[in-house]
Amino acid sequence: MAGMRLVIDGSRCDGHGICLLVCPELVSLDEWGYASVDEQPITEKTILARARRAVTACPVGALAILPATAPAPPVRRAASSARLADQWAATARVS
Amino acid sequence: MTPLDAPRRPGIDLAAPSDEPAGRTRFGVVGGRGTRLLAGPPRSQGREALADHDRRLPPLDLGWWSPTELRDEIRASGLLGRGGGQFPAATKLDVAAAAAGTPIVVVNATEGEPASRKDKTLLELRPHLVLDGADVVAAAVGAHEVVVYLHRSRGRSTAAVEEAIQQRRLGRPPGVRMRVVDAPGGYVTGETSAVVSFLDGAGALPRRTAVPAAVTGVGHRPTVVNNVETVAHLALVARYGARWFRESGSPQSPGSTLVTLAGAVGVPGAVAETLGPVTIGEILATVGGLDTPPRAVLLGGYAGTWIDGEVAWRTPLERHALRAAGASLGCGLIAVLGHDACGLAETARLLRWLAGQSAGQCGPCFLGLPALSAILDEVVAGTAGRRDLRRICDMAMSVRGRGACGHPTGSVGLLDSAIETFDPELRRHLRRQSCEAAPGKGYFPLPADYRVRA
Repeated sequence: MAGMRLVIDGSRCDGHGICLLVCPELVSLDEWGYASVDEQPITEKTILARARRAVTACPVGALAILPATAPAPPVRRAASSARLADQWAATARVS
Repeated sequence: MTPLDAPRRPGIDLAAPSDEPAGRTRFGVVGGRGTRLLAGPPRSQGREALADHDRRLPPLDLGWWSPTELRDEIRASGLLGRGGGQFPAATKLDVAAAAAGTPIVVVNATEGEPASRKDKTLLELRPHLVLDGADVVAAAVGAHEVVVYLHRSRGRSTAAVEEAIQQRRLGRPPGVRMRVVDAPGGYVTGETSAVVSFLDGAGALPRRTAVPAAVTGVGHRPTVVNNVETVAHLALVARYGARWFRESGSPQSPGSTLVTLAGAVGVPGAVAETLGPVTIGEILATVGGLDTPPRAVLLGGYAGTWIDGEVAWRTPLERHALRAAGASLGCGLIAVLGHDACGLAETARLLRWLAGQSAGQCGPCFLGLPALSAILDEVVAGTAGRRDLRRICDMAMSVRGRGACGHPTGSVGLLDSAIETFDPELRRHLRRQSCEAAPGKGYFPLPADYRVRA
């Protein structure tokens, strides 16, 4: 567990806000509803568990958990998969 | 014997003065006798042909160097990237050379900063120097492919580069393949991750990446993205060596620097090369034709930092001194605001443009910047009060540091520095007193075709 952190790809976030419900310790929403995340290393086990749930709960895959030593945030997906994800997100929002 | 000794330093006359008098020139030299990047025939003769280029400079014998030696020399030169990030050029090359796969070299010639002209000037006048530099980068990382990433509406730069690539194909052994890629327009399309994204076949949008492009970029190959001025410097470092390179500039940021002047100067759009430690005042006096400090100076681009004119006048154009003043050289733009203009009105105009340049990916950017711009417009119009000022500051806090690229943070930096620098103007506007500047009077150039995102 030592040295994991929650990171966000701001270009994916669509402001669903589920992460805030799941993990209020690390997530806050700005006045437009977009999440910003405390990207410091996570020290508590329960918070890490919530962070993991936030990662799985995010409908657009904007969150990730990385080792604290890793230089920066989520791996860029190939363009095609990003498009698929966007389509999926669009349909998910409609249904 | 290192490649640097002996016949490498011939008595080339680097001090080729421009043919126009200082103060009127677009092609000025400040703080030293010669020019480096801009040496050679005067501007009026247009782009330098390959034959003239070969005659003027000693040959670039890249076969002499091993890639490691070349990178060591570049490291010794201490060259910092000139695209705005001031990232050590050698580090990028080392990372790319160590990464898996054959690297690809990108010369980033988008220069999306509307008032900046330094890269266009280099491409238009010295295309072969830039392409030499691209060859140097390719040799330093073992690449066989160079992409010049260029906005094709910049007709003259495109023509110069394409002609230069054509000329170099003839009579030279096939080595590095060079091609021009037409970049889409826009402010954020020149950001490294956007460049990689575009060359990968997706849109030119900035991405937040886990690893730098130098590790894995275009087609998962290491991708070295360098600014035009950076590679032009490398063409000279490979010829004259790191020691020569460090003879100009400061120990912290060695080498000469290209700057563009804009706004209330003699010739807006003038490009100057500074060789020695000079203050901003000296540049403005010599090339800009100013006698007294202006009201304020916007440094480093439109998403840069305002500095009070008096302070800027005596601040050296040097990395540490600028950082102490809260600014950065960025892309080398020195935009001058005269005493007849209102800095707040100008900031509102620039912020509106910056807001429209958001790629529309990240909420804090595509919602926050227009909202900030709207409040600032109200402040300028005199319809805002103290509460709105508090709101602007709160909102700026929630935009800063967010998003996939530096665009929102940089734009908020412009606003922050404006609130600090133009305090007297701000008070006047809040008291609904009239402001001396005509509303909407634009000092700084914006692209004619810009639209405000609805």
